[in-house]
Amino acid sequence: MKRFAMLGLLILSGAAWAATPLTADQIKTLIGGNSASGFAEALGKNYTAYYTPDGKLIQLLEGKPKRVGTWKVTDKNEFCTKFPSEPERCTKVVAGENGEYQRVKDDGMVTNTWKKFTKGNTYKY
Amino acid sequence: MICKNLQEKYSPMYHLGALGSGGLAISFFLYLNFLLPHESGIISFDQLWPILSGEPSLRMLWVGLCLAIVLILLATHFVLMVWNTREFSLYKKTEAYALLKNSSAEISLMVVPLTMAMTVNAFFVSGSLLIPGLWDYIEYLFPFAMAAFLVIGFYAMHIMGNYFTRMLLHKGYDFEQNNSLAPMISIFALSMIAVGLAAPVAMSHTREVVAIGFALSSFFATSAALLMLVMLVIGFSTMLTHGIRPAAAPSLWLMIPITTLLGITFMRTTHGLHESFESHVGPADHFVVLMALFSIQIMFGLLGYAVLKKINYFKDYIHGDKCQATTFALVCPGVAFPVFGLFVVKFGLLGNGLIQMWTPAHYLFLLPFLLIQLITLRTLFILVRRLQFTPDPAPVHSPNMQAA
Repeated sequence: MKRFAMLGLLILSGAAWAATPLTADQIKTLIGGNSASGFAEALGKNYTAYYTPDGKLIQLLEGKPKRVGTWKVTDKNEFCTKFPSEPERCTKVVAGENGEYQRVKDDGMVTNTWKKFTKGNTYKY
Repeated sequence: MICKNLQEKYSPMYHLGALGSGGLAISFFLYLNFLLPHESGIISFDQLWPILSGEPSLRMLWVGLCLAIVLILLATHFVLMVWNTREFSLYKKTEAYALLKNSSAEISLMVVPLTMAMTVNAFFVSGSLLIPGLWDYIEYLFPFAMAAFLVIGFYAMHIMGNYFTRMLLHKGYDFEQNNSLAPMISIFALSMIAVGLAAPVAMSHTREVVAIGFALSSFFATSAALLMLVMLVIGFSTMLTHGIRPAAAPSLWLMIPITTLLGITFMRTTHGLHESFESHVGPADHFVVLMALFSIQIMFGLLGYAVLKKINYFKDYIHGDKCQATTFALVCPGVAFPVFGLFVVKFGLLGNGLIQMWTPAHYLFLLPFLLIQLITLRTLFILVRRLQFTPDPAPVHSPNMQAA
Protein backbone atom coordinates (compact mmCIF):
# COMPACT_ATOMS: atom_id res chain seq x y z
CA MET A 1 0.00 0.00 0.00
CA LYS A 2 2.78 2.37 0.97
CA ARG A 3 4.62 1.59 -2.28
CA PHE A 4 1.51 2.31 -4.35
CA ALA A 5 1.06 5.60 -2.53
CA MET A 6 4.69 6.53 -3.21
CA LEU A 7 4.31 5.58 -6.88
CA GLY A 8 1.14 7.68 -7.11
CA LEU A 9 2.88 10.68 -5.62
CA LEU A 10 5.83 10.21 -7.96
CA ILE A 11 3.57 10.11 -11.00
CA LEU A 12 1.56 13.08 -9.76
CA SER A 13 4.65 15.15 -9.10
CA GLY A 14 5.85 14.49 -12.62
CA ALA A 15 9.27 13.44 -11.46
CA ALA A 16 8.97 10.30 -13.55
CA TRP A 17 8.72 12.40 -16.71
CA ALA A 18 11.78 14.54 -16.08
CA ALA A 19 14.87 13.62 -18.12
CA THR A 20 18.16 13.38 -16.23
CA PRO A 21 20.09 16.65 -16.50
CA LEU A 22 23.74 16.69 -17.55
CA THR A 23 26.39 17.07 -14.84
CA ALA A 24 28.62 20.13 -14.64
CA ASP A 25 31.52 18.27 -16.28
CA GLN A 26 29.31 16.98 -19.09
CA ILE A 27 28.02 20.52 -19.78
CA LYS A 28 31.57 21.93 -19.85
CA THR A 29 32.68 19.22 -22.28
CA LEU A 30 29.64 19.77 -24.51
CA ILE A 31 29.88 23.54 -24.64
CA GLY A 32 33.37 24.87 -23.81
CA GLY A 33 35.32 25.86 -26.91
CA ASN A 34 32.51 24.75 -29.23
CA SER A 35 29.98 26.37 -31.54
CA ALA A 36 26.28 25.65 -31.71
CA SER A 37 23.26 26.39 -33.82
CA GLY A 38 19.84 26.29 -32.27
CA PHE A 39 16.46 27.81 -31.65
CA ALA A 40 15.77 30.12 -28.73
CA GLU A 41 12.15 29.34 -27.85
CA ALA A 42 12.18 32.18 -25.34
CA LEU A 43 13.00 34.65 -28.11
CA GLY A 44 11.32 32.89 -31.03
CA LYS A 45 14.53 33.09 -33.06
CA ASN A 46 17.19 30.84 -34.58
CA TYR A 47 20.76 31.59 -33.59
CA THR A 48 24.36 30.50 -33.86
CA ALA A 49 26.90 30.93 -31.07
CA TYR A 50 30.47 30.32 -30.04
CA TYR A 51 31.31 29.51 -26.41
CA THR A 52 34.99 30.26 -25.74
CA PRO A 53 36.80 27.97 -23.25
CA ASP A 54 37.32 30.94 -20.89
CA GLY A 55 33.61 31.74 -20.54
CA LYS A 56 32.94 34.27 -23.28
CA LEU A 57 29.83 33.85 -25.40
CA ILE A 58 29.37 35.37 -28.87
CA GLN A 59 25.87 34.95 -30.24
CA LEU A 60 24.20 35.91 -33.51
CA LEU A 61 20.42 35.91 -33.33
CA GLU A 62 18.40 35.85 -36.53
CA GLY A 63 17.79 39.43 -37.69
CA LYS A 64 19.82 40.95 -34.84
CA PRO A 65 23.38 42.28 -34.50
CA LYS A 66 26.03 40.06 -32.93
CA ARG A 67 26.13 40.27 -29.12
CA VAL A 68 28.73 39.28 -26.57
CA GLY A 69 28.06 37.87 -23.12
CA THR A 70 29.42 35.31 -20.70
CA TRP A 71 28.67 31.69 -19.81
CA LYS A 72 29.48 29.53 -16.82
CA VAL A 73 28.55 26.22 -15.22
CA THR A 74 27.67 26.16 -11.52
CA ASP A 75 28.25 23.50 -8.84
CA LYS A 76 24.51 22.79 -9.02
CA ASN A 77 24.94 21.52 -12.58
CA GLU A 78 23.35 24.65 -14.01
CA PHE A 79 24.37 26.36 -17.23
CA CYS A 80 24.18 30.16 -16.91
CA THR A 81 24.40 32.89 -19.52
CA LYS A 82 24.52 36.63 -19.04
CA PHE A 83 24.29 39.45 -21.54
CA PRO A 84 24.78 43.15 -20.69
CA SER A 85 21.62 44.85 -19.34
CA GLU A 86 19.90 41.49 -18.94
CA PRO A 87 19.55 39.29 -15.87
CA GLU A 88 21.60 36.10 -15.63
CA ARG A 89 19.65 33.07 -16.83
CA CYS A 90 20.47 29.65 -15.38
CA THR A 91 18.99 26.35 -16.51
CA LYS A 92 19.61 22.63 -16.48
CA VAL A 93 20.80 21.00 -19.68
CA VAL A 94 19.13 17.78 -20.85
CA ALA A 95 19.79 15.58 -23.85
CA GLY A 96 16.93 15.44 -26.35
CA GLU A 97 16.34 13.39 -29.48
CA ASN A 98 18.57 13.31 -32.59
CA GLY A 99 21.62 14.70 -30.81
CA GLU A 100 19.77 17.82 -29.70
CA TYR A 101 20.17 19.35 -26.24
CA GLN A 102 17.77 21.58 -24.40
CA ARG A 103 18.00 24.25 -21.73
CA VAL A 104 15.28 23.50 -19.18
CA LYS A 105 14.17 25.67 -16.25
CA ASP A 106 13.48 24.15 -12.82
CA ASP A 107 9.75 23.95 -13.53
CA GLY A 108 10.34 21.95 -16.73
CA MET A 109 9.95 24.80 -19.25
CA VAL A 110 12.23 24.47 -22.29
CA THR A 111 13.77 27.84 -23.17
CA ASN A 112 16.35 26.90 -25.77
CA THR A 113 17.17 23.99 -28.09
CA TRP A 114 20.70 23.36 -29.37
CA LYS A 115 20.22 21.55 -32.65
CA LYS A 116 23.85 20.97 -33.53
CA PHE A 117 27.26 21.33 -31.88
CA THR A 118 30.52 21.66 -33.81
CA LYS A 119 34.12 21.78 -32.60
CA GLY A 120 35.85 25.15 -32.32
CA ASN A 121 34.82 28.55 -33.66
CA THR A 122 32.91 27.21 -36.68
CA TYR A 123 31.19 30.49 -37.55
CA LYS A 124 34.39 32.54 -37.19
CA TYR A 125 33.11 34.81 -34.40
CA MET B 1 -27.02 45.32 -32.50
CA ILE B 2 -25.99 47.30 -29.44
CA CYS B 3 -28.66 49.56 -27.98
CA LYS B 4 -27.85 53.25 -28.21
CA ASN B 5 -28.92 56.45 -26.47
CA LEU B 6 -30.04 54.79 -23.25
CA GLN B 7 -29.90 58.18 -21.52
CA GLU B 8 -31.42 57.73 -18.02
CA LYS B 9 -31.74 53.99 -18.50
CA TYR B 10 -27.95 53.74 -18.71
CA SER B 11 -25.92 52.73 -15.67
CA PRO B 12 -22.16 53.29 -15.23
CA MET B 13 -22.14 49.69 -13.97
CA TYR B 14 -22.39 48.62 -17.63
CA HIS B 15 -18.66 49.27 -17.64
CA LEU B 16 -18.39 45.95 -15.79
CA GLY B 17 -19.24 44.23 -19.09
CA ALA B 18 -16.20 45.79 -20.75
CA LEU B 19 -14.13 45.11 -17.67
CA GLY B 20 -15.20 41.46 -17.61
CA SER B 21 -14.38 40.84 -21.26
CA GLY B 22 -10.99 42.53 -20.89
CA GLY B 23 -10.28 40.55 -17.74
CA LEU B 24 -11.29 37.28 -19.35
CA ALA B 25 -8.99 38.06 -22.28
CA ILE B 26 -6.12 38.55 -19.84
CA SER B 27 -7.01 35.32 -18.04
CA PHE B 28 -6.72 33.27 -21.26
CA PHE B 29 -3.62 35.24 -22.24
CA LEU B 30 -1.99 33.93 -19.06
CA TYR B 31 -1.93 30.40 -20.51
CA LEU B 32 0.25 31.67 -23.33
CA ASN B 33 2.29 33.77 -20.93
CA PHE B 34 2.87 31.08 -18.32
CA LEU B 35 3.13 27.98 -20.50
CA LEU B 36 5.42 29.27 -23.23
CA PRO B 37 9.00 30.43 -22.67
CA HIS B 38 9.82 34.09 -23.22
CA GLU B 39 12.59 36.43 -22.20
CA SER B 40 10.43 39.48 -22.83
CA GLY B 41 8.35 40.63 -19.86
CA ILE B 42 5.24 39.06 -21.33
CA ILE B 43 4.76 36.66 -24.22
CA SER B 44 4.83 38.46 -27.55
CA PHE B 45 4.23 37.98 -31.26
CA ASP B 46 7.89 37.05 -31.72
CA GLN B 47 7.55 33.85 -29.67
CA LEU B 48 4.07 32.94 -30.95
CA TRP B 49 4.69 33.36 -34.67
CA PRO B 50 7.27 30.53 -35.00
CA ILE B 51 4.76 28.18 -33.33
CA LEU B 52 1.79 29.28 -35.44
CA SER B 53 3.72 29.23 -38.70
CA GLY B 54 5.62 26.01 -38.01
CA GLU B 55 4.78 22.34 -38.46
CA PRO B 56 1.19 21.44 -37.45
CA SER B 57 1.22 20.19 -33.87
CA LEU B 58 -0.86 19.98 -30.73
CA ARG B 59 1.01 23.01 -29.44
CA MET B 60 0.08 25.00 -32.54
CA LEU B 61 -3.57 24.02 -31.97
CA TRP B 62 -3.85 25.15 -28.36
CA VAL B 63 -1.76 28.27 -28.91
CA GLY B 64 -3.94 29.22 -31.92
CA LEU B 65 -7.17 28.52 -30.02
CA CYS B 66 -6.04 30.45 -26.97
CA LEU B 67 -4.87 33.38 -29.08
CA ALA B 68 -8.20 33.47 -30.95
CA ILE B 69 -10.16 33.57 -27.66
CA VAL B 70 -7.90 36.33 -26.32
CA LEU B 71 -8.26 38.46 -29.46
CA ILE B 72 -12.06 38.03 -29.64
CA LEU B 73 -12.41 39.02 -25.98
CA LEU B 74 -10.07 41.98 -26.41
CA ALA B 75 -12.15 43.13 -29.39
CA THR B 76 -15.29 42.73 -27.25
CA HIS B 77 -13.66 44.82 -24.55
CA PHE B 78 -12.79 47.65 -26.95
CA VAL B 79 -16.28 47.64 -28.54
CA LEU B 80 -17.99 47.73 -25.13
CA MET B 81 -15.60 50.41 -23.89
CA VAL B 82 -16.35 52.68 -26.87
CA TRP B 83 -20.09 52.06 -26.33
CA ASN B 84 -19.82 52.78 -22.60
CA THR B 85 -17.82 55.97 -23.17
CA ARG B 86 -20.46 57.28 -25.56
CA GLU B 87 -23.42 56.27 -23.40
CA PHE B 88 -21.78 57.57 -20.22
CA SER B 89 -21.22 60.98 -21.78
CA LEU B 90 -24.94 61.12 -22.66
CA TYR B 91 -25.91 59.87 -19.22
CA LYS B 92 -23.90 62.64 -17.57
CA LYS B 93 -26.35 65.18 -19.03
CA THR B 94 -29.36 63.53 -17.36
CA GLU B 95 -31.04 64.15 -14.03
CA ALA B 96 -30.30 60.57 -13.05
CA TYR B 97 -26.60 61.39 -13.07
CA ALA B 98 -27.11 64.47 -10.89
CA LEU B 99 -29.04 62.33 -8.40
CA LEU B 100 -26.34 59.67 -8.47
CA LYS B 101 -23.66 62.27 -7.76
CA ASN B 102 -25.52 63.35 -4.63
CA SER B 103 -26.13 59.89 -3.24
CA SER B 104 -24.13 57.12 -1.57
CA ALA B 105 -24.09 55.46 -4.98
CA GLU B 106 -21.63 58.09 -6.24
CA ILE B 107 -18.81 55.72 -5.30
CA SER B 108 -20.02 53.34 -8.03
CA LEU B 109 -18.54 55.84 -10.53
CA MET B 110 -15.19 54.29 -9.61
CA VAL B 111 -16.11 51.58 -12.09
CA VAL B 112 -15.16 54.05 -14.85
CA PRO B 113 -11.45 54.49 -13.93
CA LEU B 114 -11.39 50.79 -13.05
CA THR B 115 -12.39 49.88 -16.60
CA MET B 116 -10.12 52.52 -18.11
CA ALA B 117 -7.16 50.91 -16.34
CA MET B 118 -8.19 47.59 -17.86
CA THR B 119 -8.22 49.27 -21.28
CA VAL B 120 -4.57 50.29 -20.84
CA ASN B 121 -3.75 46.66 -20.01
CA ALA B 122 -5.76 45.52 -23.03
CA PHE B 123 -3.80 47.87 -25.31
CA PHE B 124 -0.55 46.56 -23.86
CA VAL B 125 -1.49 42.91 -24.41
CA SER B 126 -2.90 43.59 -27.90
CA GLY B 127 0.30 45.35 -28.90
CA SER B 128 2.50 42.58 -27.57
CA LEU B 129 0.49 39.88 -29.36
CA LEU B 130 0.02 41.64 -32.68
CA ILE B 131 3.03 43.89 -33.31
CA PRO B 132 6.27 42.10 -34.28
CA GLY B 133 9.37 43.36 -32.52
CA LEU B 134 7.44 45.64 -30.16
CA TRP B 135 9.42 44.36 -27.21
CA ASP B 136 12.60 45.90 -28.65
CA TYR B 137 11.12 49.32 -27.92
CA ILE B 138 9.34 48.48 -24.69
CA GLU B 139 11.54 50.65 -22.48
CA TYR B 140 10.31 53.69 -24.43
CA LEU B 141 6.68 52.67 -23.89
CA PHE B 142 6.81 52.22 -20.11
CA PRO B 143 6.76 55.97 -19.31
CA PHE B 144 3.65 56.40 -21.49
CA ALA B 145 1.90 53.46 -19.81
CA MET B 146 2.80 54.87 -16.40
CA ALA B 147 1.50 58.30 -17.40
CA ALA B 148 -1.78 56.74 -18.57
CA PHE B 149 -2.24 54.88 -15.28
CA LEU B 150 -1.35 58.01 -13.35
CA VAL B 151 -3.99 60.09 -15.17
CA ILE B 152 -6.54 57.37 -14.44
CA GLY B 153 -5.34 57.36 -10.84
CA PHE B 154 -5.97 61.11 -10.55
CA TYR B 155 -9.46 60.63 -11.97
CA ALA B 156 -10.16 57.87 -9.44
CA MET B 157 -8.84 60.02 -6.59
CA HIS B 158 -11.05 62.89 -7.77
CA ILE B 159 -14.17 60.71 -7.59
CA MET B 160 -13.18 59.33 -4.19
CA GLY B 161 -12.27 62.77 -2.91
CA ASN B 162 -15.71 64.16 -3.84
CA TYR B 163 -17.44 61.16 -2.30
CA PHE B 164 -15.60 61.11 1.01
CA THR B 165 -15.63 64.89 1.40
CA ARG B 166 -19.40 64.97 0.95
CA MET B 167 -19.92 62.01 3.28
CA LEU B 168 -17.65 63.42 5.98
CA LEU B 169 -19.03 66.96 5.83
CA HIS B 170 -22.71 66.19 5.38
CA LYS B 171 -23.04 62.83 7.14
CA GLY B 172 -24.58 61.43 3.99
CA TYR B 173 -23.70 57.77 4.45
CA ASP B 174 -26.88 55.77 4.89
CA PHE B 175 -25.93 52.56 6.67
CA GLU B 176 -29.37 51.06 6.26
CA GLN B 177 -29.25 51.42 2.49
CA ASN B 178 -25.59 50.43 2.03
CA ASN B 179 -25.84 46.93 3.37
CA SER B 180 -23.30 45.27 1.05
CA LEU B 181 -19.63 45.39 0.09
CA ALA B 182 -20.47 47.38 -3.07
CA PRO B 183 -18.40 50.46 -2.06
CA MET B 184 -15.39 48.17 -2.38
CA ILE B 185 -15.58 48.75 -6.13
CA SER B 186 -13.45 51.81 -5.31
CA ILE B 187 -10.75 49.61 -3.77
CA PHE B 188 -10.97 47.35 -6.80
CA ALA B 189 -10.20 50.43 -8.94
CA LEU B 190 -7.24 51.52 -6.81
CA SER B 191 -5.84 47.97 -6.90
CA MET B 192 -6.17 47.87 -10.70
CA ILE B 193 -4.21 51.13 -10.97
CA ALA B 194 -1.59 49.78 -8.54
CA VAL B 195 -1.08 46.59 -10.54
CA GLY B 196 -0.82 48.56 -13.76
CA LEU B 197 1.87 50.81 -12.31
CA ALA B 198 3.68 47.73 -11.02
CA ALA B 199 4.07 46.32 -14.55
CA PRO B 200 7.12 48.49 -15.40
CA VAL B 201 8.57 47.58 -12.00
CA ALA B 202 8.60 43.93 -13.03
CA MET B 203 9.57 44.39 -16.66
CA SER B 204 11.78 47.44 -17.04
CA HIS B 205 15.57 47.22 -16.84
CA THR B 206 15.89 50.95 -16.14
CA ARG B 207 16.35 51.50 -12.41
CA GLU B 208 14.73 54.94 -12.45
CA VAL B 209 11.62 53.61 -14.17
CA VAL B 210 11.46 50.72 -11.68
CA ALA B 211 11.82 53.12 -8.73
CA ILE B 212 9.15 55.56 -9.97
CA GLY B 213 6.79 52.72 -10.87
CA PHE B 214 7.28 51.17 -7.45
CA ALA B 215 6.65 54.46 -5.60
CA LEU B 216 3.45 55.18 -7.53
CA SER B 217 2.20 51.60 -7.35
CA SER B 218 2.95 51.48 -3.67
CA PHE B 219 0.81 54.59 -3.07
CA PHE B 220 -2.24 53.09 -4.76
CA ALA B 221 -1.75 49.60 -3.31
CA THR B 222 -1.31 50.93 0.22
CA SER B 223 -4.36 53.19 -0.14
CA ALA B 224 -6.34 50.21 -1.40
CA ALA B 225 -5.21 47.99 1.47
CA LEU B 226 -6.05 50.62 4.10
CA LEU B 227 -9.47 51.44 2.65
CA MET B 228 -10.18 47.73 2.24
CA LEU B 229 -9.93 47.27 6.00
CA VAL B 230 -12.22 50.26 6.63
CA MET B 231 -14.82 49.21 4.05
CA LEU B 232 -14.80 45.60 5.18
CA VAL B 233 -15.58 46.60 8.75
CA ILE B 234 -18.30 49.07 7.71
CA GLY B 235 -19.71 46.65 5.12
CA PHE B 236 -19.95 43.69 7.47
CA SER B 237 -21.32 45.86 10.25
CA THR B 238 -24.19 47.10 8.05
CA MET B 239 -24.80 43.69 6.48
CA LEU B 240 -24.96 41.99 9.87
CA THR B 241 -27.29 44.68 11.16
CA HIS B 242 -29.61 45.10 8.18
CA GLY B 243 -29.04 41.98 6.12
CA ILE B 244 -27.53 42.05 2.62
CA ARG B 245 -29.26 43.75 -0.32
CA PRO B 246 -29.99 40.88 -2.74
CA ALA B 247 -29.13 42.93 -5.85
CA ALA B 248 -25.73 43.74 -4.35
CA ALA B 249 -24.98 40.24 -3.09
CA PRO B 250 -22.23 39.61 -5.72
CA SER B 251 -20.28 42.34 -3.93
CA LEU B 252 -19.36 39.65 -1.37
CA TRP B 253 -17.07 38.35 -4.11
CA LEU B 254 -15.31 41.70 -4.66
CA MET B 255 -12.59 40.62 -2.25
CA ILE B 256 -11.51 38.07 -4.89
CA PRO B 257 -10.47 40.54 -7.62
CA ILE B 258 -9.04 42.93 -5.03
CA THR B 259 -6.77 40.28 -3.48
CA THR B 260 -5.84 39.03 -6.94
CA LEU B 261 -4.67 42.48 -8.02
CA LEU B 262 -2.85 43.22 -4.77
CA GLY B 263 -1.24 39.78 -4.95
CA ILE B 264 -0.03 40.37 -8.52
CA THR B 265 1.23 43.80 -7.47
CA PHE B 266 3.29 42.06 -4.78
CA MET B 267 4.64 39.51 -7.27
CA ARG B 268 5.56 42.19 -9.81
CA THR B 269 7.17 44.41 -7.20
CA THR B 270 9.30 41.69 -5.62
CA HIS B 271 10.40 40.49 -9.06
CA GLY B 272 11.36 44.03 -10.14
CA LEU B 273 13.19 44.82 -6.92
CA HIS B 274 15.08 41.54 -7.27
CA GLU B 275 16.16 42.31 -10.84
CA SER B 276 16.99 45.99 -10.36
CA PHE B 277 17.79 46.43 -6.67
CA GLU B 278 19.18 43.00 -5.77
CA SER B 279 16.61 42.44 -3.03
CA HIS B 280 15.68 38.78 -2.86
CA VAL B 281 12.32 37.19 -2.16
CA GLY B 282 12.51 33.46 -2.75
CA PRO B 283 9.96 31.06 -4.27
CA ALA B 284 8.99 29.82 -0.79
CA ASP B 285 8.20 33.39 0.32
CA HIS B 286 6.02 33.81 -2.75
CA PHE B 287 4.27 30.56 -1.91
CA VAL B 288 3.44 31.83 1.59
CA VAL B 289 1.91 35.09 0.35
CA LEU B 290 0.11 33.48 -2.59
CA MET B 291 -1.47 30.82 -0.38
CA ALA B 292 -2.56 33.39 2.23
CA LEU B 293 -4.33 35.46 -0.43
CA PHE B 294 -5.71 32.36 -2.14
CA SER B 295 -7.18 31.27 1.20
CA ILE B 296 -8.96 34.63 1.54
CA GLN B 297 -10.36 34.14 -1.95
CA ILE B 298 -11.65 30.68 -1.17
CA MET B 299 -13.25 31.92 2.07
CA PHE B 300 -15.08 34.81 0.36
CA GLY B 301 -15.82 32.61 -2.64
CA LEU B 302 -17.61 30.05 -0.49
CA LEU B 303 -19.41 32.68 1.59
CA GLY B 304 -20.59 34.52 -1.53
CA TYR B 305 -21.68 31.33 -3.26
CA ALA B 306 -23.70 30.20 -0.24
CA VAL B 307 -25.51 33.56 -0.02
CA LEU B 308 -26.11 33.90 -3.77
CA LYS B 309 -27.43 30.34 -3.98
CA LYS B 310 -29.73 30.90 -0.98
CA ILE B 311 -31.33 33.98 -2.55
CA ASN B 312 -31.58 32.33 -6.00
CA TYR B 313 -29.36 35.01 -7.47
CA PHE B 314 -28.03 32.95 -10.39
CA LYS B 315 -31.53 31.90 -11.47
CA ASP B 316 -33.21 35.26 -10.98
CA TYR B 317 -30.52 37.60 -12.17
CA ILE B 318 -28.65 35.74 -14.93
CA HIS B 319 -31.60 33.91 -16.47
CA GLY B 320 -34.61 35.56 -14.81
CA ASP B 321 -36.32 38.92 -15.09
CA LYS B 322 -34.20 40.62 -12.43
CA CYS B 323 -31.20 40.84 -14.75
CA GLN B 324 -29.52 44.24 -14.49
CA ALA B 325 -26.25 46.05 -15.10
CA THR B 326 -24.86 45.12 -11.69
CA THR B 327 -25.20 41.43 -12.55
CA PHE B 328 -22.01 41.94 -14.59
CA ALA B 329 -20.24 42.05 -11.21
CA LEU B 330 -20.41 38.25 -11.26
CA VAL B 331 -17.84 38.22 -14.05
CA CYS B 332 -15.08 39.93 -12.03
CA PRO B 333 -14.50 37.13 -9.48
CA GLY B 334 -14.94 34.58 -12.26
CA VAL B 335 -11.96 36.21 -13.94
CA ALA B 336 -9.89 37.03 -10.89
CA PHE B 337 -10.04 33.63 -9.22
CA PRO B 338 -8.58 31.69 -12.20
CA VAL B 339 -6.03 34.44 -12.83
CA PHE B 340 -4.76 34.15 -9.28
CA GLY B 341 -5.02 30.39 -9.46
CA LEU B 342 -2.67 30.41 -12.45
CA PHE B 343 -0.24 32.52 -10.42
CA VAL B 344 -0.43 30.00 -7.57
CA VAL B 345 0.27 27.12 -9.97
CA LYS B 346 3.09 28.96 -11.74
CA PHE B 347 4.92 30.59 -8.84
CA GLY B 348 3.71 28.51 -5.91
CA LEU B 349 3.73 24.95 -7.23
CA LEU B 350 5.98 25.03 -10.31
CA GLY B 351 8.23 27.73 -8.84
CA ASN B 352 8.98 25.60 -5.80
CA GLY B 353 9.50 22.42 -7.81
CA LEU B 354 6.42 20.76 -6.28
CA ILE B 355 5.17 19.80 -9.73
CA GLN B 356 6.69 19.81 -13.21
CA MET B 357 5.26 21.34 -16.37
CA TRP B 358 3.23 19.22 -18.78
CA THR B 359 2.63 16.44 -16.25
CA PRO B 360 -0.71 15.03 -15.06
CA ALA B 361 -0.36 17.01 -11.84
CA HIS B 362 0.10 20.22 -13.81
CA TYR B 363 -3.03 19.57 -15.89
CA LEU B 364 -4.95 18.58 -12.76
CA PHE B 365 -4.19 21.88 -11.03
CA LEU B 366 -5.03 23.93 -14.13
CA LEU B 367 -8.34 22.17 -14.80
CA PRO B 368 -10.57 23.78 -12.12
CA PHE B 369 -9.43 27.24 -13.15
CA LEU B 370 -10.13 26.52 -16.82
CA LEU B 371 -13.63 25.32 -15.91
CA ILE B 372 -14.35 28.52 -13.96
CA GLN B 373 -13.09 30.57 -16.91
CA LEU B 374 -15.44 28.75 -19.29
CA ILE B 375 -18.43 29.21 -16.94
CA THR B 376 -17.55 32.91 -16.63
CA LEU B 377 -17.22 33.22 -20.41
CA ARG B 378 -20.69 31.75 -20.83
CA THR B 379 -22.12 34.08 -18.18
CA LEU B 380 -20.50 37.12 -19.80
CA PHE B 381 -21.99 36.39 -23.20
CA ILE B 382 -25.44 35.69 -21.71
CA LEU B 383 -25.35 39.06 -19.94
CA VAL B 384 -23.98 40.97 -22.92
CA ARG B 385 -26.71 39.49 -25.11
CA ARG B 386 -29.45 40.20 -22.60
CA LEU B 387 -28.43 43.70 -21.67
CA GLN B 388 -27.04 45.35 -24.75
CA PHE B 389 -27.47 43.40 -27.91
CA THR B 390 -31.24 43.52 -28.03
CA PRO B 391 -33.42 46.45 -29.12
CA ASP B 392 -35.21 46.27 -25.77
CA PRO B 393 -32.62 45.61 -23.09
CA ALA B 394 -33.51 44.01 -19.80
CA PRO B 395 -34.75 46.67 -17.39
CA VAL B 396 -32.34 48.34 -15.06
CA HIS B 397 -34.17 48.02 -11.75
CA SER B 398 -31.41 49.56 -9.74
CA PRO B 399 -28.59 51.14 -11.70
CA ASN B 400 -26.04 50.66 -8.95
CA MET B 401 -25.22 48.22 -6.27
CA GLN B 402 -25.98 50.78 -3.62
CA ALA B 403 -29.32 52.31 -2.98
CA ALA B 404 -29.52 56.07 -3.25
